Formats: sequence, structure tokens, C-alpha cells
Amino acid sequence: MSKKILLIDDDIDIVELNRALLTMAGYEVVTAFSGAEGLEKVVAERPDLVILDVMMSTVGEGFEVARQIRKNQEIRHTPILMLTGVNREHPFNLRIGPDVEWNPVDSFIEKPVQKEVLLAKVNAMLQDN
Amino acid sequence: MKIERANILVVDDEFGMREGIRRLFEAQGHRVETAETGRNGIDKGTAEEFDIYFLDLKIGDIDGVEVLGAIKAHFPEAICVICTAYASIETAVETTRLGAYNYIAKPFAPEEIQLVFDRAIERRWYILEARQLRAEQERRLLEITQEKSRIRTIINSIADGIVVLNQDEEVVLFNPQFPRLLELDKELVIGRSIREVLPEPYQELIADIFRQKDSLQALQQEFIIHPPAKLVVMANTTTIRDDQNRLIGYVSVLRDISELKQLELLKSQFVNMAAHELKAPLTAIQGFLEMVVDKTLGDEPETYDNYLRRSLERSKTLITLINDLLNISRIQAGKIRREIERLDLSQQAHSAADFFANEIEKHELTLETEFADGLVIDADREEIQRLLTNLISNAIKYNRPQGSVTLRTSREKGYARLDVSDTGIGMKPEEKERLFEEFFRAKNPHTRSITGTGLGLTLVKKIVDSYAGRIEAESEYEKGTTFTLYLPLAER
Repeated sequence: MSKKILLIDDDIDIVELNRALLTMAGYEVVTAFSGAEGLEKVVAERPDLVILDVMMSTVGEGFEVARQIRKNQEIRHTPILMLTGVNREHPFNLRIGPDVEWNPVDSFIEKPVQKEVLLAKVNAMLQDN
Repeated sequence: MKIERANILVVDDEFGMREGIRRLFEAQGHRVETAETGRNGIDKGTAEEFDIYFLDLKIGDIDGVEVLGAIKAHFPEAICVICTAYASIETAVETTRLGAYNYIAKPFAPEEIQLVFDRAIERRWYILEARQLRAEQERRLLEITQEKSRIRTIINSIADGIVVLNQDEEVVLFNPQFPRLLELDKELVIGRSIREVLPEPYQELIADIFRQKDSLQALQQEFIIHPPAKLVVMANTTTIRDDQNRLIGYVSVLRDISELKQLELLKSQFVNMAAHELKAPLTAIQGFLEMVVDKTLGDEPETYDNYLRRSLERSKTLITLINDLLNISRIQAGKIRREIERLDLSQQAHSAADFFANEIEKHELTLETEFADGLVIDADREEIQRLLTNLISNAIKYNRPQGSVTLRTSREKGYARLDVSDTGIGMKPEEKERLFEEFFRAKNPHTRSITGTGLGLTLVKKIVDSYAGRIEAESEYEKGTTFTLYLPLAER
């Protein structure tokens, strides 16, 4: 059975791009266009990986989604890959690890994301599981 | 050391005495006045200040002592010489006690009175000289005081805070703005060390200056009194040196730059947002084009049609965004060169709507119009078109198939009113609230694939504001939105 990935991003084109790419690579892809919709889908779809954009309608909305996922007992172990273009634009200190309260993600990639890098990262994260 | 023309008053009831003294001294070029009674002597003697008074002690009507008293009361420095035939120790003591300068016993020879006169006139000269010096000193003192108060007035009227310190860091001078600007809770006292009253960051500044004592010319430093950035003060400190270039103190001028800092912050936030908004469409375009070039999804060209269409769409947005940014920056910099002319708002709305005829058809919409006559406004045609274009294109973009776009103009209390309504997706109240914010775009399932810059309405509002007009929005989620614009009617 193929692994399921949830894409959360408010840019419809970015979602489409990554959806096409990951589908080609043999993954099952579900999508969400806001933080709230994303959280619902994590519960409903139980994905094997969440790919989350950091900046949606408000700066840092992605952080909040990640924290909410970690708070929910049922889904808290879902791996999160965060896409960020903010590292250079904002003075956020991104640290990684499920125990890090501020930004509890497992890995992140700087935007713009190159498709080889994204695929390699996704493959690696899903193999670990 | 001479008084060339002395004024002399002789008070004596003896004609011979009066005339004798007059002749003697008038011959030397002096002026001599006489009085033959005590009463007359007091009147003349107090009316003007003579250089020398010759007073007889034994006058018919009033006692000479009384005349002396009256004159001395009036002119305490008057030189009075008592002439008396009854000279005795007691009268001498008495008159000296009352302030007589000297006395001479009658009868006297001319050379005797000349001697007394010469000494008296010398004394008088000293008195006048001293008096003049005193007056000069007082005048200078007054000048200095006035100069000081002038400087103080100037310093106090400066909006910047100013403090002058000596080289021991003691306060020499300050204006009221200085403690006010630093919000000092301790009172600033002249002669006290500045360190006792200053907040921490300013103390460090002072310490900095002292460390560089000898080489320092001027130092500019910003520090935050109330973090974060609530009160930011810029301090310009300069050394004061004497003519041998020895350090004698410091003058520090403080300026409140909080507002400037706030503006800087807003500007950098705007630039960050703009960069993010510019990057988003480019990221999508780049991703799509890579897919096409790499044939990631196979060799069938049709597979990529949608990607190319979206790339085109996003690149159009990018151009619009750049134009909007340029327009906003032009409006903000006040660099717009306007060509104000009489415009008919209904006509303008009509031609703007014509421009969108194809677009309206493509989206399967109908256009309804209701135009009032004679709505004349004074405005720049290009700006009014930009404003109408933005509103109409929104009404098309955020509509739904088979919906309608309505343009209506009317007159309302000195304003030309324009309503642009759609039957589209509408807005939630919380979205409506942020409508005119820079880069704000409503994010919901309906808006997902609609491209936009988030600057269109910001721009519309800036234009409307600049014409002293106003814009309002009414909206119901999933029902539609109406923008109502008021622009002042032209005066006839």
C-alpha cells in the first residue's frame, strides 16, 4: 500500500505542483488549503507525512498547525516536513525536533523547493518510519 | 580730576556773604546760585543737585541745621560746607553727624574758603566718578543678566533636549526638554553628577565618552528608553574645549526619533511583505516551467496546458503587483503629477465598463448599469479609471457564473456616489474588516484559484482618500459585495 502524504499550503499552484510530483513518485496525496482544513485532514486521513507551508494567511500560521498536531494524542506522532521561505526573511530561530515547543517539526526545506530535494527528503522521512 | 564748571548754592541771609562767594567763584567759571532764606535754600537746594552747598548756620527763618538735614535727605551724597560765625565744637560735631562735609568759621579770607572749596570739589569729583563707575557696572551686570536670560530663552525654546556637563560630569546647564525626553524620575540639579539621575543606557554613553576623552570630537548614539522601541532617543554629544584645546566639558543634544523608528519598522515590514508576495507567484511559475521543461509528467504536451495557463495567470499578477507597488510608492511620496480636469463620473464608469465587456462575457456574467446625469468631479482621468478598473475587475473575479455586475451612480449631498455590486462569493465579517490592508487577501475555498495582489483595494482607498472622498463596503458571505464610493462634486 502506498504511503499517504498531506499537503498543507494556501497557494493553490504550489499544492498542485507538489501533488503532481509526489503522485508521480507513487505516493497517495491529499491536500488542504488552510491551517484549519489541514488539521481536520490530519485527523480524518491519518497521513504518513504532513508537508506544511510556514506562511499562510498569517505569518507563522504553519508553526501553529505543527503545535496543534503535537498536542493531539491521536496524531501527535505524524512526521512533519516544513517548507519555509522565512528563514532569511524573518528572524525566527528554527530548531528541529518533536520536543521543541516553539516549532515542533521533524525537518524543513527552504523555499523555493527543488523537486529532487523534496523527493529525496520525503523518501528518506517515510523510510525511517 | 577737575570739575570745570561746578554748580554752587550759597544759602546765607547776609548779602555780603552771598555776593562775596558769588564773585569769587563766578570769576573762576563756576555757576553760583544764592538763597537768602532757609526756606528758599531748601527749595532751590532740593530742586537740583549742586556740587557744593555753602550753608549759613544762623539764618533768619529756619535753623541752618534743618536746611542741611533737608538737603542731605534729598541728596545723601551732597557736599555741604557749613559757614558760621558761631563756630564751636558742638555745632561742628552736630553738623558733621548730620553729614556736613566741612565747616568754615566766619569771617574768612577768600584764600581760606578757596582752600575749603578746592578740597570739597575734589571730594565731589571722586563721588561723581564713583557714581559713574557704579552705574556702568550696573548696566553691564544688567546686560549680562539679559544675555544669560536670552540664551536661556533660546535653549528652552528648542524642541531637542540639551544638557551641558563640565569635565567632572556635573550638570552645568540643561533645558526642560532634557529631563522630559529621558523621562527622568529624579530631579536634575545643577552642580550634581549626571550619573546619579540618568537611566542605564545613557550612563553607558557618558562612560563611552569619558573613555575617549582626549580623541573624542563628537559622538552620535541611539538608545531605547522604553523597550521595545517605544521611546528611541538619538544623542549627539560633542566635547567643549577652551582656546588651548583643553577639554572643559560636554554638550549633549537629544532628539526623540521614536516616530522615525516606527516608520522605519513599518517600511521594513512592508518590504518584507512585498518580497514575499513577489516570490510566491515566481515560485509557482518556476515550478510549473521546470515540470514542462523536464517533462516530469511525460511527453504529452496537453498534460501541461493547465500549468502553462496558470504560469501565465501568475505572471500577469506579478506585473499588476509591481505596478500597484509603484503606484502606492508614488502616491506615498507625493510624486503623482495629476492632470485635474472636469470629469463626468457616469461617463467614466461607462467607459471603464466597456473595457471589461469581453471579460464579463467570458465569465458568463451580465452587466447592469444605472447612470445619473451631471455628476461632475474634478479629478485625474487616469486615477479615476484605475479606481474603477480595480473595483469592476474585483466584481468580475469574485463573482459566480450567471451572476451579475451592477454599476450605479447617483448624487448624494455634495458627493457623486458610485455603487459597484456583484452577486459573488462575498466576505465574512472578519475578512471585510481587513479589506483595505496592504497585501490582505481573503482566503477561503472560493478564492483559492483567484489571483490577486492584495494591493488593489489599498490603492483604491489611497486614491479616494486623496480626493477627500470615502469608500465603504457591504458584504454578505456567499451572496455578494457592494463597494460604495463617494467623491466630492466639482464646484460650479
